[in-house]
Amino acid sequence: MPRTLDDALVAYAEAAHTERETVEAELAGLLAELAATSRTAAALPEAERAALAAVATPADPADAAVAPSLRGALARRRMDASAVRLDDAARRLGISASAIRHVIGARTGGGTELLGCKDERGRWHVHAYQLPDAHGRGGQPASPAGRRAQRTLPAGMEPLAVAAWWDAPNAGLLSDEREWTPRGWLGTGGDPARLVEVAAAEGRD
Amino acid sequence: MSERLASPPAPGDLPEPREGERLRLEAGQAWARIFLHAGAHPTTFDGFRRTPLAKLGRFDAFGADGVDGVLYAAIAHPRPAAGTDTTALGAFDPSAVATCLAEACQPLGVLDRAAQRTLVIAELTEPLVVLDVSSDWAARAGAGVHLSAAPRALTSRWAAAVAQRWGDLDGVAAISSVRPAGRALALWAPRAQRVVASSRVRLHRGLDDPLLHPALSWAAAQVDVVL
Repeated sequence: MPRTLDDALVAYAEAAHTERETVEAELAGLLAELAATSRTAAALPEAERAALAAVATPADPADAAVAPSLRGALARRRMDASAVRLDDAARRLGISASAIRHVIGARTGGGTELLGCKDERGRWHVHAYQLPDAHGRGGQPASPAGRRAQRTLPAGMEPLAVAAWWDAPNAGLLSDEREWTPRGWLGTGGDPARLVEVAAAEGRD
Repeated sequence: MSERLASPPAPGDLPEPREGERLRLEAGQAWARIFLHAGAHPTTFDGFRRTPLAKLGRFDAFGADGVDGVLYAAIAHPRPAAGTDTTALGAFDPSAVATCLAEACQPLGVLDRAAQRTLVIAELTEPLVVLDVSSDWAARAGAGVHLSAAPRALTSRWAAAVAQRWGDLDGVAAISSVRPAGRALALWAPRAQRVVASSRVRLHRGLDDPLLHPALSWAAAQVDVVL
């Protein structure tokens, strides 16, 4: 167990494959947000605090946890930092950069088939989870069938959730009594139409 | 006991629940639910899903004895009936919010910040009666613990058999498949619809509401969800 904040920052940065300064900046930002939230959270009406207590959930600012938000902020930052330049992505996919520009977006919905982010100069980068690796393996999300599925996911679904969706066992993709991940389903010749149906069922309660 | 869940027996062959296996959720019982209030398929705190999904719910009993809707929720401790020895209750985990969050974010482990979700906590004003499928009933039925873990297409056939066999049940209570310490409810329409709608809403806020942050982040840390 790290004994000081500094040790903890270094340990977290190593585990998350990122820079200590990055973690420090994120943590500082989150603590500032948390301080502001703590002030407003105290305004939760007493009746609603009682409602949370009735389902055994604490509501006081002192009970807030930093880790879930910190992990989310770092994961989103890492995802953007590892996105691939458009020309590199085009080469890996065997299509033109212009073709990618027509179908890329920062969130799902509309004609978005590929997810990416813009750098400080406004240039698109493609999130790496969609692309084949150096050996040509694992690019199912960017395949024509994968892009159809991705286009069908709920409008606005953010890249971090979409990337997790591709690699999470899915109850709708059942074969041989096994739940397949969307990536594994396409990679082993599963029915693309079934994957689109499953994608369309996301965003339902 | 088999390591796999078999197909359900014919409804008439299901074992009769014994005392305590039919769980009576009394008036005043608090329940919680996280639902999508916007997007392509928005719903309300008391909205039942009316269609089976490709990615099936675990206890979708559609078509059995008129069941035409399902609503998933979570409970903490069942409110004891008057005169009940409360020391006998204790098997139920606290924090229905953590259970709801785990269910809403499964299997991704990430709360999609773009999805517009609401947390509701409400209180029954009339009782509901559900079959506790984590009770010994499941052992006698030959289901063991599998109703919380087997493929949903199969567990939903069991749910349909239960709904067909006992028309007076409002649904089932089960171990949450993604949070074994938590208790999930699957309620069926039209049976439970009126009672759910008559619940007294005590909290109704979007998950992005800063006032919910302490509770939400606490719950997320409990079940390892990334915000």
